[in-house]
Amino acid sequence: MEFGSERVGEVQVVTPHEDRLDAAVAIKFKDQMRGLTADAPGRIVLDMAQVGFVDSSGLGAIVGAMKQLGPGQQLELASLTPNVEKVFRLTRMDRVFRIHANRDAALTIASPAE
Amino acid sequence: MPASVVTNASFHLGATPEAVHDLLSMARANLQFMDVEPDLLGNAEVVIAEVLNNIVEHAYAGAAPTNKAEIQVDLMRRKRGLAMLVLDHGRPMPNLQLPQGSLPNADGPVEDLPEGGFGWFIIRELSRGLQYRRIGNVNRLRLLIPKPAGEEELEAGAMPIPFGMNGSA
Repeated sequence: MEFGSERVGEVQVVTPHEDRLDAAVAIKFKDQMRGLTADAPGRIVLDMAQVGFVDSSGLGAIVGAMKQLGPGQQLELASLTPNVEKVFRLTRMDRVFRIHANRDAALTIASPAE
Repeated sequence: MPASVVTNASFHLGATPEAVHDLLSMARANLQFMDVEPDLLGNAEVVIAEVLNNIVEHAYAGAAPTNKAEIQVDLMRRKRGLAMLVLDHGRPMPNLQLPQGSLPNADGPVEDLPEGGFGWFIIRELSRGLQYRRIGNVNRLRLLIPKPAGEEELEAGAMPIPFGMNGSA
């Protein structure tokens, strides 16, 4: 699968160019995220603007992408589309991730205090 | 504008994640053609995906991937939502019962967060009237994905559908 990835200041912004994050692409997603996040200094923002659909496999892959991060790295989400937001809310995963309305909102906030 | 006269869609697919991926795009187009409203369509996509993922991962676990049509999916627009019938030739559900579908615990530290086990929880949250039967060597699952709350009244007031135009029996 294809991703955009850029460093904005101290933040790594990763953008999946994929309409559907489901069981067919979940493993590839998690594997590629490992490479894309390896050198990120701290905050990683996953910009989900192009992803219109996530199923439980895709959700699991996003959780997996967070679990494989190194010490001091955090995975945050931005631009959840309505259906994707609903899956995060239903499964209470919206409480696990820091979620920003969009990419700009994620980039303008201060780094987390902790 | 009256609702589309098209009220049903039927699909056959192989028991692979790729076949499910392709079916989801097709089902989305069909549901739009059936004038299924966006909120219901979104819920339907998730339920269809979870039901089919489970069939591929469990009923066909260990089976050699094949493009043979192993699974049939029927979607029917109803007044209260979208009815779904799924038939497959895989293994029966354990104890011939649908999984409980409890939500995995996500209260622990990051390294203990669940990466799976959400499927049947999501199905049960978004559907009603679940019925599972094993008939011969076929699994049959029926369910209704109800219209999200609040939409029914709004729709009834905003655009009345004349009898006979929405195709419901």
